[in-house]
Amino acid sequence: MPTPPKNTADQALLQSVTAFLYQEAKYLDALDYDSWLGLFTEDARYWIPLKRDAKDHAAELNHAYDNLLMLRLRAERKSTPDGWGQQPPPATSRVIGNIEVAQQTDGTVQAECTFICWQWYRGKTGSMGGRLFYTLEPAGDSWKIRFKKVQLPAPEVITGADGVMY
Amino acid sequence: MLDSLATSDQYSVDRDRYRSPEQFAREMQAIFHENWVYLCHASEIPAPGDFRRVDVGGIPLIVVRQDDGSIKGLFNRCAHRGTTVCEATRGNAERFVCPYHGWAYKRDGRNQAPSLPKRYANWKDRKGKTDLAAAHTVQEYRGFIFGVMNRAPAQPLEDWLAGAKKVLDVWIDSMADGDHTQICLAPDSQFSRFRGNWKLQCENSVDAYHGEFVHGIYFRQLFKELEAAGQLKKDGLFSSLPPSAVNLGNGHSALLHVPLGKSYDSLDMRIPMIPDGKETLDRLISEVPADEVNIWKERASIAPFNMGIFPNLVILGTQTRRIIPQSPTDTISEYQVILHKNPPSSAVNELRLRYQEQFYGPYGLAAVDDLVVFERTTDGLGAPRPAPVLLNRGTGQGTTDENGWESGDITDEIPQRAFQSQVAQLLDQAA
Ligand code: FES
Ligand SMILES: [Fe+2]
Repeated sequence: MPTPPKNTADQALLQSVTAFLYQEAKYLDALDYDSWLGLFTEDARYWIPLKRDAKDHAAELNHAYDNLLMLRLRAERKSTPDGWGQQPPPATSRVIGNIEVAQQTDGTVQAECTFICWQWYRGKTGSMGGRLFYTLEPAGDSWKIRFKKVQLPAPEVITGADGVMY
Repeated sequence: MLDSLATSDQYSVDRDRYRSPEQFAREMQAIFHENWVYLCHASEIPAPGDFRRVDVGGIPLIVVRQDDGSIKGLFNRCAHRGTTVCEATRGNAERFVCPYHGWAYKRDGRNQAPSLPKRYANWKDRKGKTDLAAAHTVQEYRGFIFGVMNRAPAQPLEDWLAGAKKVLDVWIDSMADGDHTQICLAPDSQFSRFRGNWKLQCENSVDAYHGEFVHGIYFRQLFKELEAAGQLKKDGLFSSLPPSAVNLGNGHSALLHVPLGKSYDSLDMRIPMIPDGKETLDRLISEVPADEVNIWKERASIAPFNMGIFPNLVILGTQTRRIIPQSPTDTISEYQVILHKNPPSSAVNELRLRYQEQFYGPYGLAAVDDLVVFERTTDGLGAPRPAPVLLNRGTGQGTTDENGWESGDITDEIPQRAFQSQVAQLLDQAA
């Protein structure tokens, strides 16, 4: 369970993960999906549950339980003239905060944070917030995402076609 | 009357059908309140007290399983001053209690006594007059629960279903060996909402003409992955049997991907784009008895048809789709995945869920594009010319199929004409 930092090693880890999450948010806001997808491991999973208390991604209906291929297909829609739902793609501006990290014995890091995302889509502004859960793998002097869960506050009511990735 | 031209090559409808508040109000009354509408599925309310809250053309309704197993449709409106007595979408209730002044109703709708009854002088004489009102008729056909809100049905349910009854029968028999209780809906729904008329969603759900254009990107992606997996078939994507569009009567219609009753195994074509698809399919094959593998592969895949049951239910792909009109240009659709209650392998339902997520859900790769087209149609119909809206594709070229249904090329606008003709007929009858 990630917690706020207690010592300098924690501080350094927190700083490194924070920089990584800021970078990820920046790629998403910039619609730079090539760079964003580059942050994931080949076997990564990206999960948006349908329910707040979802437990079993396999047996339950999700909004998304993507492998890297599905993430690539989504990204492709955003740059295709007849990806109608994504033309033009939603504009977003997001803030990441309340970041917590926990070093695991296998070298991976569990990270959690909250996000607020202002968005504009088809003439309307809106916003979404939620909590992100990560399993990060060390990669050089930075990280790769092995698992990411997007916990939306009221996921059942998602109704639009904006397809914003958080 | 434009609709008398149902068989003419001029078939068209006025743009006001998709825009006018007067038209919308008449439709809610004539279609949603005075004729059969889909309410929910029996698997959602199996036990006494189980309820499902729904919106029926603006009437808030609680569909409740009674102690004797029957089903009631209670109007979700306190008999005192009108507050709703049920907020949850689904659940189980002994009683429904109004939050405003605490009036309580048993699950059959009966109100025992007002709260703080002393100031109601003649309370005892008014017994029965302060119960929740109920829909006139609620009835199930093989798991699908329909109702008529405000009057005695003009036709028995099975007559009303017309050809849709036969399609349901054939499908349920093949999905569940004739036992419809083996079919259930997933406990959670996905919703979409768009700025457009409810009939746009109804027409689109049984429209094969748009697939190549609205979903061009989806199919390009699918073909690419199929090719990479060495599975791209040349002779028809899923079947070499001829598909068709049919008019099932009373506004119901279907796109039959294969002739009714023929097997339709489209699962292999879905696998390459499904995360863990190959592994899940392998698990299905290893867990299902060898002589039933083909049957369960078919059952793990999509329905062999898209069927519109007038006015507000569509069965297509992996799902039921309930269309919930909100205003002339505001509509909610509810998607629920159709699952097997006791499949021999959990992989069967997993493959159905994954396909739903991939194609239809709000994060799917396809159905969201339809929503944008509906909104653009709403905008486009702001222009008065060229009037009216054309639904005449394939007119004069149809035939009668072996079931006696008007039938044509799958891209013909037979379903849309069937639907709009029924709208016009019910409005005429009510006028
Ligand atoms: S409105 Fe329900 S008790 Fe008063
Ligand atoms: Fe579509």
